[in-house]
Amino acid sequence: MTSSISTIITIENPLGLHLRRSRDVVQVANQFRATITAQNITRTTTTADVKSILQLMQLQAHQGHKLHFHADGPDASEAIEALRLLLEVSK
Amino acid sequence: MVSLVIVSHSERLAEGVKELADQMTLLLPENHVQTRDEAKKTECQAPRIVAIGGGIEDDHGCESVYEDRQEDRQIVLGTSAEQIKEAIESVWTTDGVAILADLGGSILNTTLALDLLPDDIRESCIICNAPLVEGAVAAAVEASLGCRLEEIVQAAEAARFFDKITNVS
Repeated sequence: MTSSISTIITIENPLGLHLRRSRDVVQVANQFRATITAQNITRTTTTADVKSILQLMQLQAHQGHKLHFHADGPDASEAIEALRLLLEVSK
Repeated sequence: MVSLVIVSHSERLAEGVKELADQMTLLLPENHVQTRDEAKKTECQAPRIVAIGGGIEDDHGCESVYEDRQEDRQIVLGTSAEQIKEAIESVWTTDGVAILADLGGSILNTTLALDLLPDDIRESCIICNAPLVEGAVAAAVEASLGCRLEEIVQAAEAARFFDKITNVS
């Protein structure tokens, strides 16, 4: 069954969504079949493919920025929860 | 797993890009992932990345040596087809090698290096038409996820079309 989920995740890391954290996000996202996109709604950026490190860097997300995530696929909810786990921690 | 070769006129630049790329291949601990798609399960090993730069060539090569007075050392800027060939051989596997190079002579000497290699190795090596830093970062992430050579080259080359500074509010 295909599901489609949208949610807002706030970046808690004091350094923001930096390069190495983005690498972690890409690794986690690639464990799922769902297509996952994100938009930085604090800055109103374009929508990024969460499985692409270069697109993630374009979100320029600092601590406190809100990202709108959208996942589409059989494991969409698991994917969003895994990303939330990763991003809503302060280290 | 696909390997990467980083080629620059400057040995220090090549090493610095490798340092960045190596960071991109570190894997998260298992507990960060709640559900694993077995079909896409990644290999738990880092791709091999080698940096090569500052090569010395003969009279026909592109070599430039100058003194760094502040650090009291000699700096060699240039690339060597022979050294690039050896670098490729040192990390090559049948999965292939993606090569990222900086400018001009690096590309020329990498092309020459490929010509010096046996057919089976040469045919599974691709020079990425991509900016060095962004290309290496993207390629390293894709390689660590166990992607195929063509996918890795595609990710690196996509970097050509990314705005570094986006129009954000």
